[in-house]
Amino acid sequence: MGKIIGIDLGTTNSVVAVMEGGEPTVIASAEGGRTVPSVVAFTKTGERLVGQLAKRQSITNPAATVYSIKRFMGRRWDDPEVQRSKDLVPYTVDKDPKSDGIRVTLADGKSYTPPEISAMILQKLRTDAEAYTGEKISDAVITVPAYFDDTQRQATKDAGRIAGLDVKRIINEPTASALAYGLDKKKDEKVAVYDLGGGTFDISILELGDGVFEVKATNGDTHLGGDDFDQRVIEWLLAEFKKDQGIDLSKDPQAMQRLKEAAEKA
Amino acid sequence: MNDEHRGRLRQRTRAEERTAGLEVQLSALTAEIETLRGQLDDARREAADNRAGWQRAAADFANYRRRAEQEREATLGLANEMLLAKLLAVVDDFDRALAAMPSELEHLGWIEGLWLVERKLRALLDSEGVTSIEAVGKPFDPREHEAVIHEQTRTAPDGQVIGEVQRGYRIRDRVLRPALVKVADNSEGAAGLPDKDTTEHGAGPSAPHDPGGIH
Repeated sequence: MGKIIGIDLGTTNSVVAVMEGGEPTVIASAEGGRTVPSVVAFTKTGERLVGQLAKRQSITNPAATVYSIKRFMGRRWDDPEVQRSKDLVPYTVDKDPKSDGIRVTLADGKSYTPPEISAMILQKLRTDAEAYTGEKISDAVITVPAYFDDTQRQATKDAGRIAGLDVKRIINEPTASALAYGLDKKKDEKVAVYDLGGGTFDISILELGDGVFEVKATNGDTHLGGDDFDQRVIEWLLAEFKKDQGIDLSKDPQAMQRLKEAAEKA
Repeated sequence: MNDEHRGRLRQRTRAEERTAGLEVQLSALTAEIETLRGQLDDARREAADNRAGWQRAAADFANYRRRAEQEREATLGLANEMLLAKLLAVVDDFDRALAAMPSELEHLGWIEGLWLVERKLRALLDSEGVTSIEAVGKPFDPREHEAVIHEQTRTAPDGQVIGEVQRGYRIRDRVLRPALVKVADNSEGAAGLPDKDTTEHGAGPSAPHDPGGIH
């Protein structure tokens, strides 16, 4: 039997790992990073870019660079989250005429469902994993937020299927974290799992009994993440610099770029 | 004559006895040969099995050694790359410091020394296979460039890199760090913009002096 890959399909970034000698190993992408930005872009020349390359060209091609697609996974058009998110993204989000769901429409008229976009990310992760292991990969386990409902879980499975993956399990993200910390080997207890991602913040309460986790409660802020923290640090630095030196750096793109990098590092 | 005859008879009897004895020996030998043949076949089979097993193990070991060697090289290479990538941050600062040098200091001999240090640094990067990525004037390519500014202009074709915010580097055939660039945008509204010198930004204060030249 071939290897099974584990995938964290995130809102901002995604990760793929494989078991090696009883330990999970995170697989580096072809571009060298341990995480792959959850970004898909369609260039003017008809090329499809996924991950780091898509992110690098995003400001030159905002209308055809799709990010944060997870916010739309398995959601209905009239979902308040869809209505809120669709105005925050620079690509066009329309109601899918064939279902209650949504489609992402590009300038050339082509449109894609959220599972189709997610499948492109999964396909990239699968290719990276195949390059690493030297084997054909056909099975995967994918994590989803604990608050994902059946439709959203099914949409995630569909994305796997479109990417040619047999999704063996869908695991709750907080459960996966708890397992990774080996909490299943400890005594029965309640644990809180915090997950501060690039664009979302989740907290879940898990109850552990007989090696089985039960998600007792989950909540969070779907529009608060590390990126917001970076933005606040940049704003604070700008304000401090202006106060000390009387110079507004926000007009200088080079200074802004260096501030952004410094804030991300901090 | 009788004696002779008797003696012949005795001889024959002895010969017959010998023959009979030989026949017994023959059947015993045949049986032993059969046993030995069987043992030989077993031994040959065992030898063949051992040989096949040894060949498999040798092949496994050769594969393992090759993979271990590859992994070792990859790990070393990666560690080197990570170190070099970190060093680039210092290279950037050094470039900026030299580019922002007050003009009244430029003729000091001490500054000449600094340029020699800079050249040594470039030579070190060069010897590790680190080369800078050409950006300005090239068509934007996300494999080597990261767009940080998209500027409406009509003095450069759409999608052309018109400025470099931070230099990018390649290590051998891989991108160690993409160049952070400004990209021309000819889309709607751009034609209405006044003409301006878009190359000014790229050759601005942060463009490093490059005496050794590792482009």
